[in-house]
Amino acid sequence: MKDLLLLKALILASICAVFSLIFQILFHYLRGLFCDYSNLQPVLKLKVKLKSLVGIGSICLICYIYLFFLSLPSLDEFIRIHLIKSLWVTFILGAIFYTALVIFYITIYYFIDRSVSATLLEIIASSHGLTEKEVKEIYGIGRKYIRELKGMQEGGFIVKKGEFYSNSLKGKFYVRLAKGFKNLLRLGPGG
Amino acid sequence: MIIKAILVAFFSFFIFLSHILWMHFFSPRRKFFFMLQYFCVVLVIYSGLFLFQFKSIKEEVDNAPSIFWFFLFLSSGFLVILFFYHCYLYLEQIIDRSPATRIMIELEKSPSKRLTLEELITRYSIERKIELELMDLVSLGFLRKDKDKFFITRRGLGYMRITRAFRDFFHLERN
Repeated sequence: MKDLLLLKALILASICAVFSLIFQILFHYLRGLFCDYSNLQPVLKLKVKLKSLVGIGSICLICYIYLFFLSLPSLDEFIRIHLIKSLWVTFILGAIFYTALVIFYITIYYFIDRSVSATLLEIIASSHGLTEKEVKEIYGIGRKYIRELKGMQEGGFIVKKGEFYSNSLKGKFYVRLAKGFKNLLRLGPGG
Repeated sequence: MIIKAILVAFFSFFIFLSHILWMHFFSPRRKFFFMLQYFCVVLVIYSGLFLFQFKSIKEEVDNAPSIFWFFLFLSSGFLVILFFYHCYLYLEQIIDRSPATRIMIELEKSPSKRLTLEELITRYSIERKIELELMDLVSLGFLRKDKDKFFITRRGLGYMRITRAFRDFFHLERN
């Protein structure tokens, strides 16, 4: 009974989350046809998006709670017959759960590692006030380009031939995905 | 069975977190690849633990009151939804705000699909990114602007201390 309830919760939550995110993407795409947010200041863009994310997310939560308490005999039967007794399903579910925890940790890690704003705060905190020009000088714009390009070379996203940089196959694939996502969500050039 | 798998997965995640000690004391150069390798090793450990019979877990699970489990399972769904939204938001931020993504797009957009460093700098200005980041930090209350100078606020100081402690612990370079 416990396994059944747990699996039901996980399946329903995943379905609700996926549907709500598809709706979220469609909403941004359609809204982008009428309003252009791409040139907004990044944090304002994020605030606009968060409002819709919270709104749609709340509806998703309500749907999930409703479905969880609803009697769904066909789902219960499917879980009982095909999922609960299968050792492989149980093993894979645990592996997915572990992977999800690791992904969550790594996203937080990289958010802190790659954060430009955290570096800017450190620079300004160690002074008694800095102008924009002074911040840029201390930050080292030239060095930033070199660091980014070096990181992308090490990751196999770009290659350097002589003085020229170009995308590798991996980089080209990533660019296609990124451009598609940007066009869908009307994100603008970004960077 | 499934509860056991989830508990073993949680335990495996805590084993994975032991990579922090390695990163702190040995500071591997390619951190992401190191974490990836560590993840795979712990996945093997998870598999081993999964096959191990934990009789005491089964007794604990059977004896717990049912209302507790009902609430726990409902909450597990919330966590799943939060996780999906977290990944979506993270992906969007990476694609929208990452200089690396923009650089790769500029390389692809260029007529010969290759650029020198000087050509890249004319097409994509990181200076502009710094300006926008500073505006964002002022909007979020981490900085305040007085005439033409930026000063850190208490809020910014708190956030900066957390990120600096994290970076120092993992020997991460400033980005």
